[in-house]
Amino acid sequence: MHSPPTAPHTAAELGGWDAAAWVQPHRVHRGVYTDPAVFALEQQRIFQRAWVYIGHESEVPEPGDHTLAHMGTQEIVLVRQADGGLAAFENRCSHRGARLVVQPKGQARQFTCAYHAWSFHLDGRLQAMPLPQGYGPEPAQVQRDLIRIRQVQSYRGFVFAMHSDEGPTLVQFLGGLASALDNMVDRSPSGRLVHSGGKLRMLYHGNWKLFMENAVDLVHPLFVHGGAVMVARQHPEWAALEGVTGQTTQMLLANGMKLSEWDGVDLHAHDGGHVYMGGFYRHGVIAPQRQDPVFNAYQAALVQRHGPEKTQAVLAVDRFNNLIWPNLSVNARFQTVRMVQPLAVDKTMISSYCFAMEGAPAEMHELSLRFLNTASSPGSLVASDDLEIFERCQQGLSEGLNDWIDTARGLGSDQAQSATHWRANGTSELPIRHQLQAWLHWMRAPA
Amino acid sequence: MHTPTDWNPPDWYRFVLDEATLLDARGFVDWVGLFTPDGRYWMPASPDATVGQTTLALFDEVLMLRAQRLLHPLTHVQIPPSRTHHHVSGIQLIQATNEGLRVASMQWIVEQRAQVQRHFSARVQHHLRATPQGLKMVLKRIDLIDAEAAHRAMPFPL
Repeated sequence: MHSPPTAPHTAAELGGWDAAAWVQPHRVHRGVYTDPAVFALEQQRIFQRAWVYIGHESEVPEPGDHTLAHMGTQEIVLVRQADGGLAAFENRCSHRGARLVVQPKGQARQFTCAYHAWSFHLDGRLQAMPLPQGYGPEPAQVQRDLIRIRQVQSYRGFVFAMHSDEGPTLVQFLGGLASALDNMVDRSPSGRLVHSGGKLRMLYHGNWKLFMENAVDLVHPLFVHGGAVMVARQHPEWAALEGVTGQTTQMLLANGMKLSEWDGVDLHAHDGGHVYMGGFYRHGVIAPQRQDPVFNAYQAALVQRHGPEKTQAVLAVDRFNNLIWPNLSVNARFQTVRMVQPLAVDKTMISSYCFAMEGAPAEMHELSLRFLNTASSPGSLVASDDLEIFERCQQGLSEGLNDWIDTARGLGSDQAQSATHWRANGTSELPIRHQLQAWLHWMRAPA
Repeated sequence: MHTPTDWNPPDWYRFVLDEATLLDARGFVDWVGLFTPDGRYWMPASPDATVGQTTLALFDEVLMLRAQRLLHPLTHVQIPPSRTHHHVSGIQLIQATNEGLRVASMQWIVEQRAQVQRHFSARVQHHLRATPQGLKMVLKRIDLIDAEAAHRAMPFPL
């Protein structure tokens, strides 16, 4: 049933707006995905106040190493400090506002603005400016240091930022999904992961939440990826090709499970909107327990670190798309991450990259690269159809008389595992409802 | 006195043009036939990738899988299908050995789909080998000018 238009269109109107009216147990208002004023509010309330994934420590190993990152639409610079710690600041000169760092990666002793040569220490404090006497005494209200992000912390190498002194600790925030990062680190025979192989970037004209919700929607693969699945089924010989050559076909065949089989895949939701699904790769080089010389050599290296029992436990963790809400998707089994970067209410970029496990055979890294090529490239046989559907959703949601999106599938069948952990069958929309509850939590937090 | 019809370019030159024409005609299955059985189509996701280096790629897999999938009626990202024009220039033979030929060209590819037009500019390398069936591609490497940029879905080979 159509309800009268309620979408706020200016930030001023948001004053009287109640996010709770838009996220109901069985449905969500389309404005959550289409309203520019809501998007602007998300930037303040979610991407500044929640812990946001901004990069990996291996991207900035040495003091002065820095890389550009984002907290929502805000560009920041992540910098390794002289004492080995991490800091980040907004990428804006405190003088005239020019973007300070323009190369995506670099090494610096200090940062100097191209405009009037104001320079800054690695931690963002003003170092020097030409003609300092000309500026007179510094009035108290003048901000001459860079705006430093209030909290930057690493969890086992994965770096998160929060632009607030309040709120949960990083460990509290990660909650039940810290285990996904633990598992990726535990899979490395040396305990070290190194970002390697570059990055893949996909763009779609749709809201950022569409990607996070789709990643754990198990009713869609059979339909959205049906064309690719059917071609793969006609050629079983491609899946049998050696090493990673057969990997893409194996991944497609796995996507072609019947709905009853998808229903048998577990979905798990933890407090904070963090969710994951059980593994569904059963055959070939992508199966959790491979039997081939490369994997055997890897396993032997892992036993050196953990001993046989823990090695078995580490390798037995079979999950897919561990989502750390709002902006990170982790596949520990393939040493890959996908990062969601909102650009506008209807524009989103997904950056993906993988880690080499130091001490593992080089072929293990090829598996990771191939996984991302297949799952996360704009040319992907899988993701390109997802991107098409996201754009169709955004187009459909942007007009018309139906204000609501249905999120009721499986409602009432969720099973509490603990006070902070629920599970459901694979075809439930539990993860979508759970993410929307997290959205509501942050959006309702007082200004 | 030469007329255009007199002009008889070498087979490697003709190959690059014919390949582009076949892609524009969406003859993807025939296009896979222009590769040797071990032939590789490679579009790296960074501008400085070297062959053999382990870098992420925009495309790199079993070619016939991509060809048949593009033509499958349930491939949503090709409903409606993309139309493309390959504008090819500067075709040069850069190396000829017993192994085969290396041909470089500059290509500007225009795509039209669902009322949206996109442009791709690429430096293209064809590594060709003589076979009883004529020249075949051992490698087609596409270096996009914006290889590392974020792209919307690009399911078709360039």
